[in-house]
Amino acid sequence: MSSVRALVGLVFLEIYRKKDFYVALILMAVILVYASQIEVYNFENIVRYVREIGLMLIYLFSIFLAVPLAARQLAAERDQRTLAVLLAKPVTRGQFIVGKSLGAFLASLSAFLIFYSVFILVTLAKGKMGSPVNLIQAGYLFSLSLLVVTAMASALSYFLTSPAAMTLAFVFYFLMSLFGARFDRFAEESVGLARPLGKAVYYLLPHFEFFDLRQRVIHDWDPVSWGLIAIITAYAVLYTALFLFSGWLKFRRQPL
Amino acid sequence: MMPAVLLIALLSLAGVTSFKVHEAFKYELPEAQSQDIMNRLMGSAQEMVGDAMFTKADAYFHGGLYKQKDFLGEPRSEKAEGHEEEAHHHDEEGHAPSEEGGAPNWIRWIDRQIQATEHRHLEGVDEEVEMLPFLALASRLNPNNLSAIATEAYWLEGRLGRVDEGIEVLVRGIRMNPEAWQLDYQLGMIYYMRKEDYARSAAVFKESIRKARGRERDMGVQDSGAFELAHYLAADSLDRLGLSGEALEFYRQCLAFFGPGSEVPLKGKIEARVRELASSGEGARYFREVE
Amino acid sequence: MVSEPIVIENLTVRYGKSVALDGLSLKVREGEIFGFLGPNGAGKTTTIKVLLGLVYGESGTVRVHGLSPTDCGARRRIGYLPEEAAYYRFLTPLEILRFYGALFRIPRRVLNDRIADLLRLVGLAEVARRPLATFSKGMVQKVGLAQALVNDPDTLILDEPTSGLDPLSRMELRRLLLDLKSRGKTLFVSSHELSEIELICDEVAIIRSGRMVRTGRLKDIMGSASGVSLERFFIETVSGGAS
Repeated sequence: MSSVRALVGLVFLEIYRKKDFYVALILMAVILVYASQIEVYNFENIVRYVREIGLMLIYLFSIFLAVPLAARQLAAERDQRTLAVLLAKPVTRGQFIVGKSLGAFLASLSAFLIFYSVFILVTLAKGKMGSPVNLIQAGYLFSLSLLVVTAMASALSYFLTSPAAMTLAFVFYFLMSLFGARFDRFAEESVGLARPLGKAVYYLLPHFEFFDLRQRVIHDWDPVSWGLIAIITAYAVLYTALFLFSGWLKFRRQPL
Repeated sequence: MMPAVLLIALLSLAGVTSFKVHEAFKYELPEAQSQDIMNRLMGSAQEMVGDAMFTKADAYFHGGLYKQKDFLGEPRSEKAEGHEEEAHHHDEEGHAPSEEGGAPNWIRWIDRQIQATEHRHLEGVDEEVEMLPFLALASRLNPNNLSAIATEAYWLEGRLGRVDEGIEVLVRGIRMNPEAWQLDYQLGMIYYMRKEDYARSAAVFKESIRKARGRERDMGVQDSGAFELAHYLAADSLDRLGLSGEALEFYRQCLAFFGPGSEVPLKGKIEARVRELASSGEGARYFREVE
Repeated sequence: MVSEPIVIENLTVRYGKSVALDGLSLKVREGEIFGFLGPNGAGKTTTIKVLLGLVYGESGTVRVHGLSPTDCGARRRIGYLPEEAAYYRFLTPLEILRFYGALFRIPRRVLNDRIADLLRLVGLAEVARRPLATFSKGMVQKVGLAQALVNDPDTLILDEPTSGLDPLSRMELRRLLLDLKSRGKTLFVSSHELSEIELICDEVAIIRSGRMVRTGRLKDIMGSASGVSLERFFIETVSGGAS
């Protein structure tokens, strides 16, 4: 566990020593503050579009931080020639995979929480923060999506090059976030190879739309049930474990 | 590098917060398309984006739900009024009718729990203002989208108490769409009902009628009704101004819309007023000139 | 107590169809400096990687302190200085040593004291908080040496340890290695700097094309070729002309 902890700490230092996070934070804050200052016909209390812009930026920036961070870990260690030194220490390959993936998740989660706090402050300043329960649920579920997407990007990086892993992770994430709910319909209406492919995508890829509660936050819908949150948590943990396990199967006997 | 980045960020924040940005929504017609900054940024995509903003405004009105399709991509059914209540029917499990009889699908079940699907509208000024940014963007980006202009004006003057802003929107819309008689009609309604400015309402209704004349055959039920009402309100506005002759003319045109056996109360009201005016001095003079 | 911390018996390693090591056998005695020599591509780095558990043999046995190299227990007792390694450029030497030290579960107080000693030993105490991105090649090599010693290993595996060092630093390194030996450490050194090997090693092995060519006590090997430098002896051996 201490090895995993040390690896997590290393990834943390990486994200906060590099420029990406600060660029994203500043850009997001500036856009959000700018958007919140817009008065339409001198109405000051219009907030839903601010929520929509804010959450979209937060989700996008967090994903754009998380995926490359996770997908680059193995490649960076190879390129920096630090991998051999690291694995010559009492660190198993499993610990390496878990530590790196968990590190990418926790680092991007911390970035997301900072973004989210800025978002909450901005909406609070508009006088309409919205339901705290909705905010907590939305933040929690998105955190789970970060867990799954970093595990996915990490696992892909053991099979593919880092850019390919990144690209595929982005494609899967946005494909399932935007169209995941509709893939079974697409499959049913398709012919030939598209039909089984569509079904395979629908049932095999993680459904990232499960983790997206933005509609409820933006439009002040009632929160979802905590039982559903528990089910989605189990779903996220299962996919994370599957991804990390597949990465371990590939990496465990790979000569370095 | 970090201090430089932070400095730029601080300056940006200071600049942004130091002035009211609603000026961005104060639209002044450019002299040429090439001077329009939005057109220069987006080119021909501008109108498409504008129409998308209008759809967005409608979605906001329905709590984030799009009218045409639900989040599963299943088309919602629509009633004649364009309001779909059947598609919002779900059973207690949250299943849409299209799911009945199909195999249990736990993914779909979770999707339906996550997505809000119940039918709702924004209610009250506090909520209804939330649509405004998108309506404003819609009419700004596609100044030929009559529905967007009319809707924006309606919400401003009719629901949010911003009559003058509503008028501005319609005046701008009319300038960009000179043949759109519906916008003149709507403007006339504002002058008539909100402002009680009968001189303006009369002028605008007359303009609306002039533009619409000859296009009656293409009108739908809603537009026909508006066309008829424009005649009556033009007449009434002129009547209130004491312009009996002209009022009489429009009353008679209005009467032509009613069938011979029609017993609509308005018809009786108009007929009574026509008789009054006809027997008055100016009305009799008018009839002599016409006949 | 294992008197031979490193034991390799009939080790064969393949990369696809090519044979990197072919039935290699060697033993390293405890407390000695073992020189591992060979031309480029002979299999020296592969041998080291097997000892570290980074590469797996197809056949044969490898024992490090009596354990398989893939066992973390073995790696706890090893320090490794790679050839031309780099370290995390966004970290300082202090942070690098803390990170590697944490992997060995060294108690914090012990680790802090050890890090301070190591930084002084390698001459980096003044620049301990500067990011590695600003370091020269020689300074990075010193960081490498410090990280190899952070766990106070029983066995040190060094791949081209003098690479990138100026003559003065080489002399200091030589002194350090001999000092470590005097403290009972076992050193496994792979190097092309034969003059350095000649000065410090007790035993040497020469491999060529993945096979052992000569192995034995340095003085015994050199004794049989008196008047010849190790360099000349090495060239003749790997060319197939050694007596």
